Amino acid sequence: MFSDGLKGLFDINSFRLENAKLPVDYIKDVRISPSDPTVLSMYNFQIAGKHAGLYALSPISVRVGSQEYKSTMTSYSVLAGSLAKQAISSSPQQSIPSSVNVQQSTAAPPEKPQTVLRLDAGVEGKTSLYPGQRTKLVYTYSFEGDISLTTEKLPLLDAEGFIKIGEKEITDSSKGNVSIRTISQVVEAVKPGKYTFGPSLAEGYTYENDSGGNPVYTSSKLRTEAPDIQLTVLPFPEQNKPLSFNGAVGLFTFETKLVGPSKLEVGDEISLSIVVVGKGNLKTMTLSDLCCQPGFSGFFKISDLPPTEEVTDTSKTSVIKLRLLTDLIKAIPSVEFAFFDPELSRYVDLHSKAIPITVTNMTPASIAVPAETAQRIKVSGKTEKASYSIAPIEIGSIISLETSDLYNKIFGTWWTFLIIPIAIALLLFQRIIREYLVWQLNNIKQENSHELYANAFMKKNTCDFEMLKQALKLALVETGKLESVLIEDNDLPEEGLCDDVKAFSSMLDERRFSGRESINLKDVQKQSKALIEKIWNSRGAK
Amino acid sequence: MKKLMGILFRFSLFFGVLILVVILFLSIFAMRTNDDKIKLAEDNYNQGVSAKTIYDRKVAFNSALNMFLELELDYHPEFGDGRLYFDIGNTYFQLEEYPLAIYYYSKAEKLMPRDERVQHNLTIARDKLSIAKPSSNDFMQFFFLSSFISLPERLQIFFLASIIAIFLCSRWLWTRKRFYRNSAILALSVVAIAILNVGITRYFSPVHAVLIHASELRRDAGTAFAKVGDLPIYAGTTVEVLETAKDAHWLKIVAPNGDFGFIPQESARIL
Repeated sequence: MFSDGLKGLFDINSFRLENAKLPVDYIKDVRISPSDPTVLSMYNFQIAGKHAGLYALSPISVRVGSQEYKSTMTSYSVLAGSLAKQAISSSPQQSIPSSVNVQQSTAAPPEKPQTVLRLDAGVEGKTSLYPGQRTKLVYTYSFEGDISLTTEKLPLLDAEGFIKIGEKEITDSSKGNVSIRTISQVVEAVKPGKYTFGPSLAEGYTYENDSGGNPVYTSSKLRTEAPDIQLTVLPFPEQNKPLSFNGAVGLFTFETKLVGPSKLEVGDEISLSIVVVGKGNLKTMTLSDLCCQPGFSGFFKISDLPPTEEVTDTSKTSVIKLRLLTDLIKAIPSVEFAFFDPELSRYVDLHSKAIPITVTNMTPASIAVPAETAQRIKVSGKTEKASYSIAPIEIGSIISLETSDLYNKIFGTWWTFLIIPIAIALLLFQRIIREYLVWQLNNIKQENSHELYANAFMKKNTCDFEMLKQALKLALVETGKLESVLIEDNDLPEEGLCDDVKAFSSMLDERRFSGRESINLKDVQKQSKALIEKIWNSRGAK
Repeated sequence: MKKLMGILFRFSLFFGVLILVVILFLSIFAMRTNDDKIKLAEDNYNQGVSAKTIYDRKVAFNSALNMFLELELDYHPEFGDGRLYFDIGNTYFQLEEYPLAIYYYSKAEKLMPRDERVQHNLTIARDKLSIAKPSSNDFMQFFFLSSFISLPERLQIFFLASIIAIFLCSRWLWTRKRFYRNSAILALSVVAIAILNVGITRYFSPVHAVLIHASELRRDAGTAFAKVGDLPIYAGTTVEVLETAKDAHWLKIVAPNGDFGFIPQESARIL
């Protein structure tokens, strides 16, 4: 059905067939082309089941706005079909009703819908596992005809919390008219806990290809859901857990072999092959560290590099390099290997046989000489082991240390941050003291500059120079030229009368303390009087 | 009264300077205490360099190493000048213990960021193990100046700026002169930047570790858990540590290729 810009006026309840209301299900809209406003809207409807044969479909009418449109009469055929073959599930939501577009699906009466899509989820194997054990998670689709899935949620295939082993496996088969697709994934348990996957869900439509190869949807939306699947990963029991247990789960046997000669010298490197055979998590399990096993520490130096490993379906071979440290070694000690048997829920502790070896001491000259540094030289056509060369020093010398190099830098540690509270305390202390002093100063009886000046020359033939300077500054404060008498003489502003007072004070101090010239009190009195009167006279002027 | 204020200011100043001088004096006096192990260690090292046989060389370098490690244990100069760590790195290098040499060179590098000898030896040690230099965040290094100034030096700058700021603030407090106020603001800005710098370094910069044994990277803290990737992380590789797990027996790390996982704590040493 086409609707070009009239979709808003279209009434889905106005479909009629043979003067009776025809219920329809909306399937989807398809735009003809991006530039064309025309939209193809697809609907699906059901009619009563009929016996096999050819039938005519009466015109179907629909109302768009105030206008009614009609289709032309068409024919359709109903084919004979076997109900028994098609029945898969009795779930009503997994059935597809008959449709004018689906030729093969109308033989059944409407009260017995057929199953065409079903999803099952399950576990092939154990649902209770130990870390390292594997199980197979399986989905099975059962369906009939071609189905285009629009929604598919298969959480089992993600298997969050488990390690996926290999790719997922897909197999297709059929049973009568029903196609069966099985999707499986092998997973390995990692961490103890309870894991729930689901619900799993699939939605889609059946379709057929028309003569042009384009799919024609032939059903309403199909939906199938599989219930949750729960897996439990059990923790390894702590009771009777061997020290050498390192996560091996299954059923194993093992043996150790010495690769190479059994007569050796101190410092020689030997290869110890450990072969584990059995069924279990061979690939992911690790052997217990040899350094922690009895008889190895102090006698053997174990290579820093991890052992080389070779894994087959049934065995794992690890080759560990060891260096002999002493001639006291008489045998490679028994190696312990523990695994967990999940069938019996118990640990099994295996011990290999000790491998006798003979270790002799060697000359100091050959200690710790790597094999590659041993040089062979040709003498008279014969090759013989001549001497070991000492490798050259490749890096510069050490830095000569002073005792101070052994200590942390002064004020270069985190303790330095203590300066912050100390600084804050120091500044606050100064501020409080200053405020106290100012407060005290304000409470002392204030003399004016006139009184102070007179007091400075009160005693005969002498002068209180500090009082004189204070009187000058007080005069400056009184005339608004200075902020505070607390300002030091040296810090007086270098402008106007303040500068004059500063110069006078400086001159006075120089004469008083330099000792080069005596002070003429009359001159001082004359100059100071002139200066202070100048200040008083400037009252009000800036 | 004014005189009293002046006296108090001068007293505060004198008292502050006196504390500084006493601290400096005590520190320098403590450092003058000579340690004979330094000379012994250096003598042994030089004997190793001039040894004629591999045996003599190993014996001498091992003796030097023992002395240097004892000094490290006695003094813990983690905020020092890094010279001891450089010497230990050199000694491990001579003993062909390259992963441990890389570990100590990396420690020295943090304290001696401008020293080319450390960079040079570190490169040689990594070459020995065919390990690439770990990628570094250049912006962070530039921003925190870690490529130019070590953390102890930055702390010293912070301290110096703080002392200057205290002096200028005190001066302004008593004289109220604009010059001192502006200078104090400038000094306090330097202090604030220094605090920001060392604070972020302390709490936000990534923690690194050097693998001293090759180790498998595992999905969780335990050998029972699966390996991440087929190849182990090789000894000498520098990795970023995200957290510790299982009572600090396992470290959650980021491998150089970006893989996350766990390694046993004994396989690595944190820088």
